Amino acid sequence: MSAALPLGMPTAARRPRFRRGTLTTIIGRIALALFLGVWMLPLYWLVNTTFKFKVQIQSEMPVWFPSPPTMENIDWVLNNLDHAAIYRSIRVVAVSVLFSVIFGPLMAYALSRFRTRFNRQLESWIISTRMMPPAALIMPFYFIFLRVHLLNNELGLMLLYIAINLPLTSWIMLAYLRGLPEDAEEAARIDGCTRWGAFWHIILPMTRASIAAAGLLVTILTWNEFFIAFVITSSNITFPVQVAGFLANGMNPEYGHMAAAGLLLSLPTVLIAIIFHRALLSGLHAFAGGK
Amino acid sequence: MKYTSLPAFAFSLMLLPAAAYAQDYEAAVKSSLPDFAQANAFSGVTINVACRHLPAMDFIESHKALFEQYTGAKINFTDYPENDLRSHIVADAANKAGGFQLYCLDDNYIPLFASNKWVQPLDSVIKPAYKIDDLFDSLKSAYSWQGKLSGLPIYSEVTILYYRKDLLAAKNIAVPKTIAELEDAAVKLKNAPRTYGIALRGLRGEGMNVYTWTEWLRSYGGDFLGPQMQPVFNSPEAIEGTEHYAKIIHDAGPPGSGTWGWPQVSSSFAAGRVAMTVESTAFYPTFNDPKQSNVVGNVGYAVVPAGPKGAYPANYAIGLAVAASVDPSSKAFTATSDFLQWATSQQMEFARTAQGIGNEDRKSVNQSALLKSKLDPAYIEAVSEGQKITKTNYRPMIPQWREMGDIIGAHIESVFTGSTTAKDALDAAAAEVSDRFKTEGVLNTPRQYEELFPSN
Repeated sequence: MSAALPLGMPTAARRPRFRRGTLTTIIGRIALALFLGVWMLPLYWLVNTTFKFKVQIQSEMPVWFPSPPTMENIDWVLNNLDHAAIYRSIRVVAVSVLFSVIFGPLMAYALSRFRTRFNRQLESWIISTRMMPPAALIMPFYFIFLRVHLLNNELGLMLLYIAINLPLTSWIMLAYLRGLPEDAEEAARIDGCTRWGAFWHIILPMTRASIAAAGLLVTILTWNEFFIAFVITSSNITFPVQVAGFLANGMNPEYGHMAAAGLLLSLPTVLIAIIFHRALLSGLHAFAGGK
Repeated sequence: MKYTSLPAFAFSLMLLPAAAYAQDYEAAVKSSLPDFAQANAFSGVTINVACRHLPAMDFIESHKALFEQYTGAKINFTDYPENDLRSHIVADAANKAGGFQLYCLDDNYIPLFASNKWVQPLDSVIKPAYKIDDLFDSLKSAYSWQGKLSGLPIYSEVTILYYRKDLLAAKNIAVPKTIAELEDAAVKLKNAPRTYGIALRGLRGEGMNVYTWTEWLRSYGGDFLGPQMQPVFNSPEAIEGTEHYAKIIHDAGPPGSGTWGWPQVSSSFAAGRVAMTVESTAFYPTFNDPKQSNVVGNVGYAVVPAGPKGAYPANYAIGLAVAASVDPSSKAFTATSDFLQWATSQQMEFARTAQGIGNEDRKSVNQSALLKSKLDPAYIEAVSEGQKITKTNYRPMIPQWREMGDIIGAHIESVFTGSTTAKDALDAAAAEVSDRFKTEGVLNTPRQYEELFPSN
C-alpha cells in the first residue's frame, strides 16, 4: 500500500480523480503565499521607497521598481543621523541582553528544581511585566524614574529593559528545563558535584542552544523597541526614536528619509533572523511548550 | 555720466543688499553672538531642545556649534514626529521632568502652557539686539498670554488665495476680492472632469478643516464663544458662513473633496487640477518647485477674499519656549534664553532666507530686497497684507481650543460631504462643546480672550 508515502503524493493505488490531500495542499499553499505576501509587502515598500526619488514616491501612479535607483535617501540619512543614538542603542541592548541571558537561565533553573508551594504564583508574577501592555506599564515606571532621577538616563533604560527581558528569557528557559530529565544532574550530584557544578557542567552545555535563541529573541525585541524609549528619554534617545523623527520635515512628508532610516534600523535584526533562524525557531518552539 | 545711467545706478544700489552673498548673512549670524551672549559664560550648561524637523529648525540646528564654541554651552536637538512631540512635551512640562529646556510649541499651545505655568515668561530677558518690534505684531501677541511673552517664533504662516493666472485670464475673470466673487469665479472655472474651480480643506480636525473654515465663519460675522464661554458658533451668521463654504466645495470642488486634507488640496493645485485654493503660505515652495508642480509660473497670489464682515486670513506659527523647570535665577536659564534669542534673531532669519528657507516672522525680512530677489513680489505683498490684517484670536487662544476645534471639525465635515445641514451640524457641535466645558468647569466663567465681534 501507499501508506509509507507522504500525504498528497499521487500513487497508482489511489484513484486519480479528486484527492483531498492534494486539494488541501493547494489551498494551504495559496493561503501561505497570500499570507507571506501580506507579510513581505511592508518590507518591499520599505526597500522600494528607500531607492526612489521623491517625485516617484509621491507620484499618483505607483512606481513598482525604482528606475534609476537613487542613493539620495540613504545619503541624507547617513549625513543626518546622530551616531550617539545608535551607539546608545547598541549599549542598551548589549547590557540588558547580557543581563537577561545570564540571569534568566539561573532563575529558570531555580524555579524548575526547587519546588515550593508558591512556584506557580512566582512564575506568573515574573511574567506579569511581559504580559501587561507597555502602555499600562510605562506610567508607574515613568513616575518612579522621575523621583529617582532615572528619566532620560541610559542606566534607567537598561534597567527597564532588563526588567522586561529577564522574565522572557527565564520563561523560555523554564519551559526548556522542565522538559530536561533530572537523571544526568542527579548522577553528577552523586559523583560529588555541587548544585552549581551540576548546573555549570551538565545543564549549561545542554541548554546552550536555547539560551542563544532566547538571547537573539530579546536582542531583536530590544533593538526594535520604540515606545518605552520614547517615553523615558528626552535628549538621550535611542535609534528607533530617532528614526521616527525623520517622518516629516515641516509640512513635507519625507517617506524616502523615513524608509531609508527604517531600512538601516532593521538591517541588524533582519541579518540576525536570516543567520540564526534555526536557533530562533527552536527558542520560540521551547517557549510555546514544545521540547 | 549720462543721465540715463543715473536711475540704473540708483536701482543697482537698491539691489545691493540682495546681491550680498549668503556668506555675508552667515557672517552676520556669527558676529551677532556677542550681542546675545557672553563669551565662555555657559560651560557646563546643557540645553536640550524638543523639536520636530522643520527647515527653519534644521537651519538653527546646523548653526548650534557657533553658539557652543562661543559660550561653552552644549546643545542637543531631539526631533520627534509632530504628534509625538506634543505628547512628549506635555508629559515633560506637567511633571516638571526637566528633560528639556526648550520646547517647540505651536502658537495655539501657548495658552495651555502659559496658563499652567509650564513655560517661563520672557519679557524681562529680551535684549535690544533681538528687535522684538520687528516681529509681525500678530506673532508677538500669539506668543503672549495675558500680556506676558511666553515664546519666540521661528516659523509663521497665513492663508492666501492661490489662483491660476492662465486659467483666470483665459476666461477673463478678475482676481476675486470677495467670497461672492470667489464663488462666481470657481463655478466659471470648473471644467469637469479636467479641472475644477477650487479645492478647500474638508477633512475633520482643528488644524485641518477648521483652520480654513474659520475664515468663512469670521467673514460672515460669526464668533466662537460668548462672554461667559457659551458656544455661539451656531449663530445665523456662522450657519451662513458654513453654508457658503460647503456650497463652493459642492458646486466647484473636485468630487469627494469634502473629506480632503491639505495634502490632497495642495497636490491637486500643484498638479493643475484645480484653478484656485485658499491655503497656507507654507505651500509656496511646493507650487514653485518644478519637481513637484505642473503650474510653476502660472500661480497668482492675493489676500484671502472678504465676506460681508471683512477678510480674515488664518494664521499659524511655530516657536520655541523655555521650560518652567529651568530656574530663572540659574545660569541654565540665561544660557537658554540667550540661545533662544540668538537662534530666532533677525540675523538668523536673514541667513536662512538667503538659503531659500522662507516663512518669515519679521517685517524687515518680509520687506527686504533679499526676499524680493527670491520670491514673487505678488506673494510677498499678499503675505505682508495678510500678516497685517490677520487676528491673533482668529481662533480662540484658550487652553481648551484643541479639543473644541476637533469637535467642531468632526461635525462640519458632514456638512461638506453633504450628509447634514450646517444648522444641525453646528447645533450638535455647540451642544457637545457646551457639555465638555461644563464637565471641565469653564462654562459660565468669564472668557479669557477678546472675540473679534464685540457685539456678542
